Amino acid sequence: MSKKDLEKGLSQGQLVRKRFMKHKAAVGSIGVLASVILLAFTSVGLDFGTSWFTVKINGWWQYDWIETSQVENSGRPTISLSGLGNHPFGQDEIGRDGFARVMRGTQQSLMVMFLLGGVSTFIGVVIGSIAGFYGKAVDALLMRFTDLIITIPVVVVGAVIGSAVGNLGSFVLAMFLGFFTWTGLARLVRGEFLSLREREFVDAARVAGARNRRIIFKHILPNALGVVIVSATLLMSAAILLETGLSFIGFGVQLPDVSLGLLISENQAAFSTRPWLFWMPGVFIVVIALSINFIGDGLRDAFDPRQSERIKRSKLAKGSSGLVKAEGIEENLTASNSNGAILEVKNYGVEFLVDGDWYPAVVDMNFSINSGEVLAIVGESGSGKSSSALGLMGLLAKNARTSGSVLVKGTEMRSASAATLRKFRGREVAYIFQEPMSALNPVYTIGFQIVETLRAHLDISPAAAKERAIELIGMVEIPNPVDSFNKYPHQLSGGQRQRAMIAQALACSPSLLIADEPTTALDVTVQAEVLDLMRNLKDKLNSAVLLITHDMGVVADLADRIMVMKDGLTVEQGTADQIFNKPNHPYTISLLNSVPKLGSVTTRTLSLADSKAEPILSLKNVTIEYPKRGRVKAFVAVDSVSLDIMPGEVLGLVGESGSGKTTVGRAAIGLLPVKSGSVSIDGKEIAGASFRDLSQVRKTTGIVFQDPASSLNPRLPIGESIGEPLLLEKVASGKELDKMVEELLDKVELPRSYRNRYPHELSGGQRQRVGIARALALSPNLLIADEPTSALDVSIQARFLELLQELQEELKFACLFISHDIAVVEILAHRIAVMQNGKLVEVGSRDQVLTRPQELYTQALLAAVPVPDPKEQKKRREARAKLLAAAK
Amino acid sequence: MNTFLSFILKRLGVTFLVLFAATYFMYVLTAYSGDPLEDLRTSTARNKDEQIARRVELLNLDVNPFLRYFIWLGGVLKLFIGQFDLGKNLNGQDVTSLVGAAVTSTLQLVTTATFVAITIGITVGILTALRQYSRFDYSVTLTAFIFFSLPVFWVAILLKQYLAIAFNDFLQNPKLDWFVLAAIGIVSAFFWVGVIQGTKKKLMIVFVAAFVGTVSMIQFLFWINWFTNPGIGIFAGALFGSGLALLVTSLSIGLENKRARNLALVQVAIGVAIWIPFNLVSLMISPILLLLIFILMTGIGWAIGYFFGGEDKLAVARTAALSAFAMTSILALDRFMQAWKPYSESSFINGRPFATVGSQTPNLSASFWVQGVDSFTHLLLPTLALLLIGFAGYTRYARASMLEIMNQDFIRTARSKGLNERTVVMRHAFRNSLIPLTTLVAFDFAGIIGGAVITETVFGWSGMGSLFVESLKRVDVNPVMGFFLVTSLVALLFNLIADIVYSLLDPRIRVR
Repeated sequence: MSKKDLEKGLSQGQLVRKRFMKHKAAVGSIGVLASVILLAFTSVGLDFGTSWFTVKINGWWQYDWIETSQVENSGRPTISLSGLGNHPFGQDEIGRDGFARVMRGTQQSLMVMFLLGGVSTFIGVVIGSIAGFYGKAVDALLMRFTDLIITIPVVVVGAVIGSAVGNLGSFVLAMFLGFFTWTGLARLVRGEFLSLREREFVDAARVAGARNRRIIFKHILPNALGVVIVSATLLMSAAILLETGLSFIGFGVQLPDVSLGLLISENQAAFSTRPWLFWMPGVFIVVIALSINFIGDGLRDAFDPRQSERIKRSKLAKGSSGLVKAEGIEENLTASNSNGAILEVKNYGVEFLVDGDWYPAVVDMNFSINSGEVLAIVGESGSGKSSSALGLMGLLAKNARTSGSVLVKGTEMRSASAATLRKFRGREVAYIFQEPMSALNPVYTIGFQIVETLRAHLDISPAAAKERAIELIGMVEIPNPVDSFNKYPHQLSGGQRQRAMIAQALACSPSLLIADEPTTALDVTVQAEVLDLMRNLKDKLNSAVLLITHDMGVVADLADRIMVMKDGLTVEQGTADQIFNKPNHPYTISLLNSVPKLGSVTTRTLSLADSKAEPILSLKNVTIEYPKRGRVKAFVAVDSVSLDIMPGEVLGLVGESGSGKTTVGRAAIGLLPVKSGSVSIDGKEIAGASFRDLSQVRKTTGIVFQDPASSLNPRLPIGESIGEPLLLEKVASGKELDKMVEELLDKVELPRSYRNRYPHELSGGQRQRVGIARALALSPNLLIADEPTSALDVSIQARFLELLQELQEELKFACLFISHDIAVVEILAHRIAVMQNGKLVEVGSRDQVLTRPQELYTQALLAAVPVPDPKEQKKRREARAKLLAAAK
Repeated sequence: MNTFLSFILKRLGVTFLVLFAATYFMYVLTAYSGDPLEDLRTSTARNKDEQIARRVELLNLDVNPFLRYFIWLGGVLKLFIGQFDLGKNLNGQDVTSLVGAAVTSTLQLVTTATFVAITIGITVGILTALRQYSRFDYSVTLTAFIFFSLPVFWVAILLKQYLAIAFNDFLQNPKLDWFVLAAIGIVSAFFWVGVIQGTKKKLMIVFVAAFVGTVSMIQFLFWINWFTNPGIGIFAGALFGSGLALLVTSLSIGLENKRARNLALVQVAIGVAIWIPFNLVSLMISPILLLLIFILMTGIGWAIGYFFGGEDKLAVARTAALSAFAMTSILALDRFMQAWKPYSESSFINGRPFATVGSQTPNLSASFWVQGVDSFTHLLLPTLALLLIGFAGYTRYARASMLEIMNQDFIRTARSKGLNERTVVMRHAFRNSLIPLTTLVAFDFAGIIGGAVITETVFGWSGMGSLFVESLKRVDVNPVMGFFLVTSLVALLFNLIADIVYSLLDPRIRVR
């Protein structure tokens, strides 16, 4: 979906229609198919009958499909403008009209096709939904049943069925065949359900009190509709080929009735004398099947926009060859080499082709890096920082073009040949990417991938390369380098994978290292280790580093110089000291102010209402286990955790990935069953409670999910999402509901008109506000906020946190605030709980946990958090080194 | 390894349960689809009642089908005491031997078609993915859509009526009208322009070169009477062999590896060296011997590659073995082509070699090579029919899979390391795109025996399909069940193979 569509505010349905209309073959096919249907059903009329039911309507064509007449012109096709007395498709040897027979055959084939497609789509959707939604034993049973049906080739079953019931007419035949052709669709629907039911909006609906039926029909099925419609179309085209094939070998529609397949079989022998009788039914089959296939393709494009971004070839060719040359580059080529910069970028720009127009992503960028220097490019999402880094070495997708000049050690990269670029990539300029799991090839060992880099550039033997790779693996401090050489990426932890990525980047001792968000996917303690590693290695190799990040803490830790980007423009450039301490540009200032800084919250005094009250949420020795799933062993996610939250209190729950903090949050609201222990909300036990009991509890609780993109149903206007809890708990409906939704929108500072918008029309921050509005709809006493800001940019996060604070002070709800970011928790929480590996490590008041942590893990966690201030971060780094040394 | 074994055993257990249920269902359905005694009831033979009684006794028709199934199952389960028995058909023939003969015939038909469809389909699919949104991509996509929509029986009849007859006519008097020649040249020119990328000027040159090349090549073949007396010959063989060796080297390891390139060319030299001796003794060669020669030559190639391969011995050995295989294929192909003239001039053929019905020319007793040509002329049309339909699917799957992989982050990483495009595509993308393709290929293989029913009917191929269709028409349950048992066993076997190959290809799901 492009920006233009967003601005126009098109709904999901309109977007689908718009994308479908772009597929000309599909639109044309609808016309063709409609004409064929119209022609077939009006020309020879309808004549169906069983013993209890008959339909007979005459058509406009003068000949009947079964009655014989005199053979004219030895059966050759004849056409005259008057149309009467002629046979456009010829006649067969006993004088039956070819056109009438083909029309009757088309009727039969179309009917079988639609019925068969309809029946099997229905069965497939039902079985697939049930299997995918309920999972476990139901799923296993239904899937074995599907296996049973799949084992039998469709033609074979079809033939057997045809021979058993074919004489009962095409209706019965189609119904019976439908019972055996649904398997593929059932599998697809099941797959969709399995993935959709894990989405957060399904959890949100459950929390709002929706029952299974509502969840299936309102929340999951509409989102699986695209898959269903597309496969239903393809089923139809398979159906017509199946029916005609069966009729051809004699097991489908039976004489005296005809179908297109039967006509071909009937006229096969007369091929040499009357080829037209053979050609026409075949052409009709092809036309019908082809138009259905095209419609299916059009629908697929329409429902799955990823595949429909068709790039006009002419535009692309123009783009990639029409290099936008900045003036004066030629002279610069020689002049620039003198100052010894590793990388020198001048008047550099990046543009993307969207819907046939070039949109700038990076404009007029200028910088240079010397060896041993770290230049950080910081900016929020969409600022163009990653695109600029990828474009330097020509690694952008095909729909991008660059301009200006990029000199690596004096050689121009932008106009360089593919061979020259290859020589520089990996050898002189190496990249470290954000997500090492997807950036490393899953089917090769990390050793192989490092060796590959070495051997692409250096003339060394495999044995020497292996030795060097093991040395590199040791250098990045992955344990057991010799064993780790043979490990696949999935066998390493996240931190180790990123180390492997660094080892691969450093293989050829490059002069410039481009690190694109190198620690974003990592936990904070691992991040601190990787940052230390990068700093040490950079010093050792004297490489230049171009660091791309959104995290001001990371920048403060590593950068010598900083460039701040916003919307593709460089707003400010300077040394780390200048940017952090004397920022000039208003954007830089506001960015720095938005970043939560650990240990800086002194202003807000927290007042707890009544400490003697009963806790609103109380967990006692709660253990939660994820059961065994196939080959994956059972896993204890939360191990006897006890925790209380008082009314009006905000408890911050911190921990790294896998610590079980999210699991605790979900169990607290009844989304996950607990294995042992007790969970009570407002004194009511919810562990093992029934749906009806939970409904009471739900009125007093709300939840905000982590990912705003996934926590709102894409097919519902946001007003409906917000109003769902109110509707389901029968608090309000109709006009009254609309009014309440509008008030909620006011509360989260969104315009009332947004009620009718769809989630994709909103920004991430706005969507998260909708999430809050929904959670607050029933004025809960307890709000669970599960990483609500982790997907937001810092400036949006800052505004969001302010809003949450204001709402909390106004409405006085208690809040379990789950986050990996201690600096964010510090802003909001009265008390802080720390979790590690499913266990509660430490609980205490905010000041106590942050300033006088008792446990070693808490100390290490706090020490690892980088603060956005180079000087202070240097001190913290040294303190952390001491702490770790002492712990050893 | 133990968990892997138990996984396989568990799969087999479930499989047999599914198989039991499926066969039971099919048995009952088939038995109730009509009257197995119909032909006797309507007959006018005097001993009609006696015949009916005999058949009822032979096939236990007096037992209810729901129970009769277990009599059949008993025969199947005798497998474990070494007396596998699928029962008798209506005429009292032994179904086990009927099915045995039919399976061989069908496998002959479908394996070639499937292998060729997979090879061409995946190659074209990957090419279109790499040239996404090019004219080539659009034309292949359109072609695939058309092939998808073709009923196989209709295509088969058209092939019979037009291709076979037209080609036979052409062979009787081989010459082409100038416009046909020009049309072939233009099609070939468009193909190459589609595949090759470059500037407008380069494409113009490619277009003209491809046109002139194709047309003059065809003219040259006419000039040497190649169409009536085809062959490759030692010089063209060496030339083609070298071309293939270089192609194999460039795809498998990269031409910059000079050692691999030279060792691949050595395989061509070996092929040239045994060319004349091979042709001298060729009349004594049996199919098994030919297979042995293939294995031997490929093995020698592998060994040479391994021992002289230097640092990358395994990759070089792979390259050399593939080159040796290609060269041996050229050698064998040449010999088959030499058998063409005697074959088409023999009294059984009368100069119209392309057959439209059956799997072999009856009573033709000739050398292995001529028999081979005979199989070829019979296989060509049905294979083409199956191929046209199957190929379209593989193209689409391979394209989608490759496009998905080419957009992955690790492809960008591979590029950022400075790897050349061949390594990025073949090593990083192709290898990964095979993972989802395996399942599809296995599923298709699973369906091939059952899927050829219609094609066999059209081409009068006496394989599993006709056995099934004929028996079903007569409500002859035992052969139908024999057919069904074989097809489902093959289906289940290939599902199992898919699982194993899958875990070999993808280390993430490897059970250890």
